[in-house]
Amino acid sequence: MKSGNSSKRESERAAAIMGQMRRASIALTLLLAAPLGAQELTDETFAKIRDHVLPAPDELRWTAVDWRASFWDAVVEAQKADKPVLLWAMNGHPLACT
Amino acid sequence: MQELAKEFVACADEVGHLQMVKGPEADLFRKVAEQGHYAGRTKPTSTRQGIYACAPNGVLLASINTTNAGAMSGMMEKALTRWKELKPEERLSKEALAADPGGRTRWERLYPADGLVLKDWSRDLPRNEPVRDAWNLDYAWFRREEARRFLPESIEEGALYDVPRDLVLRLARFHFVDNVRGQTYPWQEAEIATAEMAAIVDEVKDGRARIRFAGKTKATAVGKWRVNGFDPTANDQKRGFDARILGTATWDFAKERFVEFEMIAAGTRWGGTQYNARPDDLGEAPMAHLLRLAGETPAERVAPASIWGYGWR
Repeated sequence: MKSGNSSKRESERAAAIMGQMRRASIALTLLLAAPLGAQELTDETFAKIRDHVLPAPDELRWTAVDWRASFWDAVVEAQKADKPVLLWAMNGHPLACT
Repeated sequence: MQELAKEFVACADEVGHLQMVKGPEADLFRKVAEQGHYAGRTKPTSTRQGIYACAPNGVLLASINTTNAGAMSGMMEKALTRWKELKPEERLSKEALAADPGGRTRWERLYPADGLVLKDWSRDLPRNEPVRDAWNLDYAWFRREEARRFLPESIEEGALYDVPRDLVLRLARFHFVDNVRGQTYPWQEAEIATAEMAAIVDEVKDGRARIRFAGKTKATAVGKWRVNGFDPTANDQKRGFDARILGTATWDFAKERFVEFEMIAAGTRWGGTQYNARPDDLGEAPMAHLLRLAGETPAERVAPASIWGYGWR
């Protein structure tokens, strides 16, 4: 026979587990969901898709230039260094979404 | 060209912002641009996109709008020749320039240095037929307290946790978009049919917790809009992205931040928007986004394209 305290602890633990399971309802559904097709993202296809999406070194040659991310930062630096400014200005920031 | 670039202080910036806002930075840009290749232009648009070489006082040295490396090098050489012709008093500002003058508006002020900053790469996935290869990059920002909410309050091995909807919504609305070939609009909240993500703590060891993420998002929109650049015709359109999410991350308890983070959202996209260059590719096709920790260089502190929708102030 279990003592009252032990029984209470077990009840509390069971309630905690049940609460966690309820909170994790989406988690269980998503983590256990079966893949739907050949193109589907799975643990097995993850690395292949990652390597496909990442730009190749050739596609990142523009990052070899020491770009400042704003016009004014470059102007202030150029004034101090007595150098000209080279500005790449596009719709969408050229160093990110363009 | 990289060698030539060392003769300059190089920068990149968002032209629409520089054309529209007030303040010393935008004023100086407009002064430069109105001496350049698109000076005074209003059609087909009033954009001042391009590459400009200028003196710190705003004197234009040369400018061009090209993707041709030879033409670009030629412009830079011309600019350097012009620069050398100018006396210091003809090329430098007479007044000292404040590093961060009043009246300058930049989203970068909100950069979450102690939070979670992710690079968000996007690209089409392989198809049976050849596909135009393009990719894009955006940044996703989460403040310190938001980053912490990717994990359960008590980070214990085996814990399962539903990532709060507002965090998943930020990814679904502003980042899981079809920007592969060009700029697009974020999704309205009402256009998000699904935004769910779960985290499981796989291991807690040596002051670090190893996390796995899984989830799904779906966005759909129907209406009448333009999908072909400057073509003014607006037709009945639909667009969407139905994605599955998987990821892994490592949380460092002492640093109270993620030290590794890698997440993919991959699935089927369809439709297009005015400037995302999909008029010939409106059908269903596979696309993926890859999110990874960004570095901390100035060039990696660019604000997310749709940060205005984050609700940050």
